[in-house]
Formats: sequence, C-alpha cells, structure tokens
Amino acid sequence: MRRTFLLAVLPPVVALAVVGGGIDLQHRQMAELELRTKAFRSRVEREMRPAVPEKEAGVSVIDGKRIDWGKLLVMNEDGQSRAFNRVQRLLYDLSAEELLANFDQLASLDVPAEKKKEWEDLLLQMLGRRDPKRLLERFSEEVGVVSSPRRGVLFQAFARWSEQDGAAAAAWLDAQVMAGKLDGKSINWRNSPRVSFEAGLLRAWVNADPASAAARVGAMQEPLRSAVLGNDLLEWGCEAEKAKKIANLIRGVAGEAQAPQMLAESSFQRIARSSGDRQTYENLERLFQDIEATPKERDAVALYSLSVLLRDPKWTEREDVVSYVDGMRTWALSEAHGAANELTIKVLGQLGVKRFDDAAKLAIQYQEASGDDSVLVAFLKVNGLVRAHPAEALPLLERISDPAKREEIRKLFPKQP
Amino acid sequence: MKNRLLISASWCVTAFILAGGGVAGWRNHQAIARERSELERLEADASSGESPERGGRSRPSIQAREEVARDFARRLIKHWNEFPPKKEQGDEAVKGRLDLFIELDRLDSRQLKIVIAALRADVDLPEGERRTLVGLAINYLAHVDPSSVLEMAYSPEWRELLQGKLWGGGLVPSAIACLARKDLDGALAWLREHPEWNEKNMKRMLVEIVAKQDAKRALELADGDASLCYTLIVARPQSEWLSLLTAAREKAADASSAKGGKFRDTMLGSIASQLSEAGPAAAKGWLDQAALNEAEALAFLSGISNAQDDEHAGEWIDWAAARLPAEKISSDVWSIAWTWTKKDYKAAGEWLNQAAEGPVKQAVVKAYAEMVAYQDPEVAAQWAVTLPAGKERDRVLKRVRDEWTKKDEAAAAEFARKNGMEE
Repeated sequence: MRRTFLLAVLPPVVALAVVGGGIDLQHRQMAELELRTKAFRSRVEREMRPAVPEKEAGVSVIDGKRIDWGKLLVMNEDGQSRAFNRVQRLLYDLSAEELLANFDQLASLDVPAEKKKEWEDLLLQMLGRRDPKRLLERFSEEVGVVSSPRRGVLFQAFARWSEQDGAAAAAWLDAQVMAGKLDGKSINWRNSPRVSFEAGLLRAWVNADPASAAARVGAMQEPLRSAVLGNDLLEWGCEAEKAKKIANLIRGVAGEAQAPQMLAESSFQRIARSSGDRQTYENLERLFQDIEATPKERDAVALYSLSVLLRDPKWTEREDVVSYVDGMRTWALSEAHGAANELTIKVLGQLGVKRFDDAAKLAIQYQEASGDDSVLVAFLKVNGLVRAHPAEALPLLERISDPAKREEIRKLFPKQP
Repeated sequence: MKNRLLISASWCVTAFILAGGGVAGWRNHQAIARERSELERLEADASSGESPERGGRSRPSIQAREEVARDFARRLIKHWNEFPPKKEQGDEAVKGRLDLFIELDRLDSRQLKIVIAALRADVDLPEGERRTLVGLAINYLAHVDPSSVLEMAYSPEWRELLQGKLWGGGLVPSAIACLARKDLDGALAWLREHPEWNEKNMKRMLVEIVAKQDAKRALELADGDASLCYTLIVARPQSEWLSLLTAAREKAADASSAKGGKFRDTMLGSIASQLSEAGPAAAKGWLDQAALNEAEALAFLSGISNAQDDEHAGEWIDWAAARLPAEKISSDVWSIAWTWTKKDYKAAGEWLNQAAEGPVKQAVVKAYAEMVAYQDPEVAAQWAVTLPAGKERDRVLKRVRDEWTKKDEAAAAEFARKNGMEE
C-alpha cells in the first residue's frame, strides 16, 4: 500500500520540481536582463546627454552682435553661468560704442542692481580694455566714490591706461586731484580711491621711468605716501625684474626704517594668494629672491603676512595642527630667522586658547631644542592663557630656569582661595 | 483496482503540470528573447548614434563622438602650450580660449571624461597647468553629470585627487551643488550616505541654492541655524524679508526652541546689513512695516554696526538715539562711530559739532578721539577733555597722550600735566 502511494505521488512531485525550477531559472534570467537593460538605458541617457541644451547655454540670447539682456537676466543661475563665455566672446568683437550702447541698454532694465552687476562689470571691463580713457571719462563722477560698484573696474582701466600712455594717465589723475574728486576721507588714506589710482600709475611708471615714479610718491604727504607704498605694489604676477624695481622704489622713498614694513604690506596680496601652507612659503621665498630681500625685510614680510593669515582661526581646527605649527617655525628659522620666535609665540598663543595641551607640548619642545626659555615665557604671558588653564600651565612654569621670570609668570596664575 | 486508479490519477496530474509548465516556460522564453533583443538593439543604437530616448533622432556614433573629444583635448593642450595663462593676455589668445570653452560646453558626459583622461595623461603641459585644466574639465562634467564626479571621487584612480586639497578641495562640493540644483532630494540623500562632506559650509551652500528657488524649503533646511540667516536674506528680495522675519519671530516665540531668539536677532542683523547702505530714510518703509520692538531694534542696530557703512553712520546713530535707551546702545554707537571716524573723520567731526549733549554723543566722542589721536592728537585732545570724569575718560586721555608723545613729546607732556595724568 505504501509502495503504491509512493508510486502515485512521486511523478507529480518530480514534475512540479522540474517545472518550478525551470520557471524560477527563467524568472531570474528575465530579472537580470531587465536590470541590465535599465542600467544600460540610464547610462546611455546620462552619457549622451548634451552638456547643456543650447538655449540654456546662451545661444538664444545672442543674435548677431545683439545681446538680449532682458532674456539673459531671467535665465536661472546655471543658464547664466553657461552663457557667460558666449557673451564674453561676443564682447571681444564689439567696439567701444557698441559696448557702451549695451551697457546703457542693460542699465535701463528694471531689474535689481545686484542681478545686473556681473554683466555690467563684464561690459565695463571690456570697455576698459578697449578704451580705458573713455571708461574713466564716462564715470568721472564716480572715481572718488568709495562705495561705487564700479571702483574695481575703474582702477583696472586706469592701470591699463597708465601702461599705454603714462603721461596722459597722470595728467588725468592730477586733474581729478585738483578738482577735489579724490580727497581722502579716511584717516589713514587706506581704502581711498586715490591710493589705488596712484598705485596703478606707479606700477606702470616704475618700469619706464623709476626716477619720476619715486619723485611723484616722494612728494606726497603722510599718511598718503605710506598708504600708496603699502597698496599691493608688489602684486601677484609681478615679474622678478619689475618686483626688484618696485622694492627699490619703496626702499628709496620709505627709508631704511620704514621700508621693511612697507614691503610687507605691499606684498601681502601676492603672498596670501595660495591654496596651502607650502604654496605660501614658496610665495614668500620667491618674493625674497625677486627683491633680494635683506634679513630685516625677510623678517618683516614673513611676520606680517603670516600673522595676518593666522587671524583666520580655522587653522587651529586642523588635524595636523602640531606639524603645521612646527612646519611654520622650521620654515621661519631657515628663511626669516629674526621673526621665528615672534611668529612662534603668536601662533602658540592663538593655539593655546583653543588647544592648550598641543600648544604647551610645542612650547616645551622648542625650549628643549633651543635651550632658551624665551618662547615658553612669552607663551605663558599670552593674555589670559594661564588664568584659563592654571593646572595645565603649572608644569610649564616649573620649567622656567630664571627664578625672576618664574615669579613674574606665577603672578599671572589665579589666586588660591 | 483502487491502486490502478490512484496511479492513473497521478499520471494525469503529472501530465497537467508538465503541460502547464511547458506553456509558461515557452512564454517566459519568448519574453526573455524579446528583452535580450531589446538590449542588443539599444547597444547597437548607442554605437551608431541613434537614440530612442531622443525620438530616434540621430547623433554621431560613440566612436565619432569619442574622436571629437580626443581632438578637442589635443587642441586645448596645444592652445594652452601656445598661450600659457598669465596676468595679461592679448585679445587673440583670450578669444581662442573662449572659443575652446564654448566647445567644452557642448561636450556630453562621455566626451568630457575622455577629455579629462587625455588632459591628465598629457606630458607636455607643466604640472600646474595640467592640474588647472583637469580641474576645469571636471567642473564642466559636474554641471552636466554631477553624479559622475561624485562617483569619481570614490574611485581608486581619482579618490586622492578629488578628496584632497587640489582645486581648493572644491570640485566635490561643486558637484554636490550642481546635483542640488537639479535634484535637491538626491543631493541630500548623497550627503546622508557620505556624512564626511556634510559640514557647515555644505549646508550653507545648499541653503543658498534652495533659497533662490524656494524660501520656505530653505527656511526648513536652515532649521533655526542663526549662521545661515545672512544667506537666506541675501538670496531673497526685500519684499520677502518681512515674511522671513515673521517666520523667525514665530520660532523665537516657540518656548521649545532654545535657539529661536538668536535666529530672529541674527536675521534682523542680516537685514540691517542689507539696509545699512541705503540709510534710515530709505529703510523707513520696511522698518515701519516690521514694527520692531526694543529687543528687535537693538538686534537691528547691532547689524548696522557690523555693516561698517560710513555713508549714513550719523543718521543711523540719530535713528537709534531717538528710539532706544542710551545706556543700551552706547556700545554699538561707539562701534559705528569708530568705523565712521576711520573712514570719514571729517563727517564724524561735523556730526559731533551739532550733536546734542548726552550719553550718545559721549560714546561718539570716545570713538572719535581715540581714532583721531593717531592722526591729529591735538584735535583728539579737545574732544577727549569734554568727557565726564571716570575710567573711560582716563583711558581716552591716555591714548591721546601716548599718540601725541610719538609726534610731540613736549606737547604731550603739557597735555598730561594739565589733565593731572600720572606719568
């Protein structure tokens, strides 16, 4: 009976297993194929998608030599950014008249000023390239206005004009000064338009006629003279030969005592233009080489530029902060020896506020390496540091060898209750 | 008999199962064949340039498009070698470069990847220039196909370059921004999966992107983070600031939200920074509508002080003096006057000459005298002595004396003697 039952049940069970297995296999194949097709479709779609639809890329706003500014300004940010190259390319083919006509058309649109600014600047930069005098004359009422949105474009145009025709540019500048349009409002002349114009003229003159350049800046009253000498004269991209001439101009006019600081201020922008620590040091070394910096000048430039860069406290959050500080000291000891300790104290003082233990470890390391207490003592004197970290600072106090200095620092600790 | 019947039934069921299975199997087989042929057709279409997704319109074949990309890379490298970028370039060099950028803009994702690979492998370009061009092409790819750049950032070949500090560490954030513009939820999902990129600046960038399209969504995304108020305000027109302020006020009124008050105050400060340049007369309409209470007006004044605008500094000081208790505004007034004197000492002096006596004027005198002492200690001294006796007066007098000493020791000593100052 049992045998018969088995003989009856076995065939359908085997058939079910065979059919089920086969269908399952087919379903798996099907699912895999569907997945492959879907992935392929999506890859093809993605890879064959044109970079940007032509209408979004600025083609539709350009008709021959005409730009439809109204249409351009309502495009989204991405569309406008993609149109930028096409519009800029067209502007290279326009005359000064055509550029001004475009500017007037753009300015007349009832659109918030900030939305037009980028395009106005582009037009005016091109006009400044094509005919700087015309640009300055067109906006002559704005040349002395600190808050003018066009001040950068005006400075650039004037610098270009100074290169092309230094005498005419100087005559124009003197006329503006005589008319009172460039009177300084700020107490130290910093940020005053005249300073930027004068700097543009000096950069151009220093190559062609360094004596006249020196005479012009030498005739200025303080603090205008210092403001001009410190105003990015040694700008980024300045060739070595020109940098040397500018440095000599600064040395000659500012005198031995003031020159290092003037050189430091005037070179800050080119030093700061870097994307990492190594690059900053390379910028400094290149400058030292270009201007054949004296030891005093090296110290002043390094101390000033690195101190200003350190003002942004982000560096204290770096994971590699210890090697960052150590790298700065090592560099300074080698390239700007006289500034090394002052720089170290500054950097340790700032680090100590956020990460006292790291700063303390480095202060001890430098004391041991140099056999000199000066960095350690100065670090502990940093305003409020010992008061904020008395327990951690106590072992450092004991390391000071001079009893008088030790007692001086001890007084900075909070009084015991 | 019973057994035979059972066996017969079993074979019938078996036959039925096999028949049913056969039919289903045949149908499945046909479906698989159809799917396979569809995939083969898609692959063939892609190679030939036919795209069913583009309505069957023809594009150059993959091979042809790849050749276009390789040719483009060659021309780009040649131009860069011929006209290395420097500060000042001639018109022809710039025009040539712009033409190439416009071409770059027309390439698709696959072509851009070929250009990127060709640039990276080039040996003629100096290292720095090659890096610049590779970064530029990746940036274009980020606009077209941000997901590809984000995938690259985790590939062994590119991980170190894209996640490192090259290109200012900015290509991955740039790709995230591009993705967010196309698909905010997709970008947010990617950031959840890659929390290492989800830092403060990223949130600011996303809020900025969203705020330009949808203020409400941006407000949700900001989630009461006061440091994002400025981003929100700058992204929206003035006509919407009141509704943003209303939302911030609701948050401040919500007792369960500890950071609501700071959010509202920072938003007012951000609005003030935008209105500062226009001056109180121009800002009156908005201020009337906003009807600020005392705490809000103080937050607004703090924003005016931070904006450091000198054109309307005196008018803003008058505005504050007319609305707020003098003892609560002296610090901001000092700060406004300090910057004002630094930028335009003549105007600040003129304001002082006509200002009514009182604590607000004293705050301005302190700032003015301390700042002017650097340039003209004699004028600074005349103002400093008008301050009422006290620590603040002593501090200002000391500053004046110290600056004067640098210019004229005898005059400084005489000033110190007259004012009973210790050595």
